[in-house]
Amino acid sequence: MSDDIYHAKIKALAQVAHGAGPLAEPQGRAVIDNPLCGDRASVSVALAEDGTIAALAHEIRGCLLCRASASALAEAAQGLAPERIAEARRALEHLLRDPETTGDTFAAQPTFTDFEAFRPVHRHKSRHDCVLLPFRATEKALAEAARQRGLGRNDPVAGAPS
Amino acid sequence: MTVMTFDARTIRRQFPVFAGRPGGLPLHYLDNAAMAQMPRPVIEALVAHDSLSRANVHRGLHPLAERADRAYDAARTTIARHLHVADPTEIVFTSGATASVNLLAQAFGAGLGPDDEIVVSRLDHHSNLVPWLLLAKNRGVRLRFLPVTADGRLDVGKAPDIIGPRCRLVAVTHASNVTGAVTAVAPLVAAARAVGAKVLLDGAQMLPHGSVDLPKLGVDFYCFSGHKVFAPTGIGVLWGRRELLSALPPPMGGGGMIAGFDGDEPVFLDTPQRFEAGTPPVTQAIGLAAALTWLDEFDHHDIAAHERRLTEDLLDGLASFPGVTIVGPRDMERRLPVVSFTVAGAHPHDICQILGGRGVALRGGALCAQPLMNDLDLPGVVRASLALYNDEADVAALLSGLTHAIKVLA
Ligand SMILES: Cc1ncc(COP(=O)(O)O)c(C=O)c1O
Repeated sequence: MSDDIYHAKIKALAQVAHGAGPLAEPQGRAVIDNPLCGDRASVSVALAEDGTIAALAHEIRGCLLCRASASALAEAAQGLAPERIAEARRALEHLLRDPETTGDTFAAQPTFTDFEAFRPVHRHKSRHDCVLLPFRATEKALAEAARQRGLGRNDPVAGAPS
Repeated sequence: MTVMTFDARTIRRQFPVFAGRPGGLPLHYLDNAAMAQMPRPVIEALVAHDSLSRANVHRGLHPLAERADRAYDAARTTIARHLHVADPTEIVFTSGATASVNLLAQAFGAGLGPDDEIVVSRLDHHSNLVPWLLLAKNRGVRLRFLPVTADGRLDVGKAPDIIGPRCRLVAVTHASNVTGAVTAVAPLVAAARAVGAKVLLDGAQMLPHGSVDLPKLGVDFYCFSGHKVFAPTGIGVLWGRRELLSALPPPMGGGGMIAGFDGDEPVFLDTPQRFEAGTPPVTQAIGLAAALTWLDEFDHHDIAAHERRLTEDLLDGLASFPGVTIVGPRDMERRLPVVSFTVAGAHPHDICQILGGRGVALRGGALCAQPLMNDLDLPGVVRASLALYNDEADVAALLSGLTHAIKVLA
């Protein structure tokens, strides 16, 4: 049965939708489409003085898995160094690819333990991208924010093009 | 020809897949618009050909090659007959509808430039849009779009405004793979004729649902894929009027399409060989002929009546869900058993996943029709598409599965 991926925890994450909406003053923004299903993840980030993630907001046009993932990610990312996002994404890919991994997948990234909820998705390969889409958009937005900082611009990006 | 009486349950028995219970559940296959299943006579024709008559065509003089040649030619004749086409050389074998449209875009497009227009639509499958977009990019040809009505039909009333004196070709679908709407062809052809433009119809969705009489349609080119009409993958057809095909250059070169050389200049064979460079999909062509022969054993009115009854049941059933909106015509006039819908608050992929787990095969998403989705401001739809072997139990499984999915996702 496919119902196992729609358990209470995943539905609750999608429902509360942490970080949903636009960000007033983004320093980096990225929009990524999943052309297969017409889904779109748009992520905006702002960095603190020390380069950690001060705010992450997302606008998701996508399935429940994609929305739940974006919600968990927005909550987990607060205050982290940008590199932590790619590390967590790799841990998540590992969890989706290799269901035999044990419960300590996110031992090195304790704020990401909510992503354990996505373990049953491993059986549905066509849905892995739904879970990973918010990460890909976030990494792209963070790279954009880093580029802006490199240029000495800490101001919000104008018009926030994709 | 024997005409069998129509009974979906008997027909299902000819399809090994329904005996197989993939995933341990009865299969409610409602993804026919993406790919139809193959009946045993088609599978047997494929195996028989590859077992006993396998050889390359047009080249050999040994008995096996002669047998393969005859079978390949006979397949072309069978397919022509199915389409009411008198001259089999008007049937060009391709690898599918996409390849057919690309072939025509390259051959027909070779003579076009910035002063020329091609009229396409906003509801066509990408395969009858992107080849024309490429042509516009490469040769500067201008594209104009036929609009879509609120209920998902091609707005042919606007045809005389859009199909102008610079129009060389109207390339639109015979029936939508999203909304199921069947195009009103006569006004389109009239508008095209008025300015001397040609018409290509994409029949990929139309072929599985009844008879297509090409001369009666009055169009100039037609294409479809085998795998949607109970035949194998890797085979499709481009049909064109003989005098038009004979005047087109070959987009692809290779063996089997050359009459000889005039010095170093190749002299091309006429249609269809001119467009079939290389070893053609022989076995698949024989499979396609077997599929259309099988389909012609039924009375096409019976198929249409059966599919219509099920579609009515499906539309009525869906209407009883408060959150469900049909994307496409609600009436049964000029409509295929292809039904797309949205479910308030639920994403198409979540719905399809949950129903898939119950043995109900659907498709969800943008369905390769992004311009239409953009116009309708939808991220995607859920699509149920029926074939002659579907029955009431399939519709019931979909409706009860939908009730369940909505509960799971709430
Ligand atoms: C209306 C329509 N045209 C063309 C195609 C493309 O067919 P193929 O992928 O077999 O080339 C499809 C397939 O979904 C279709 O529905």
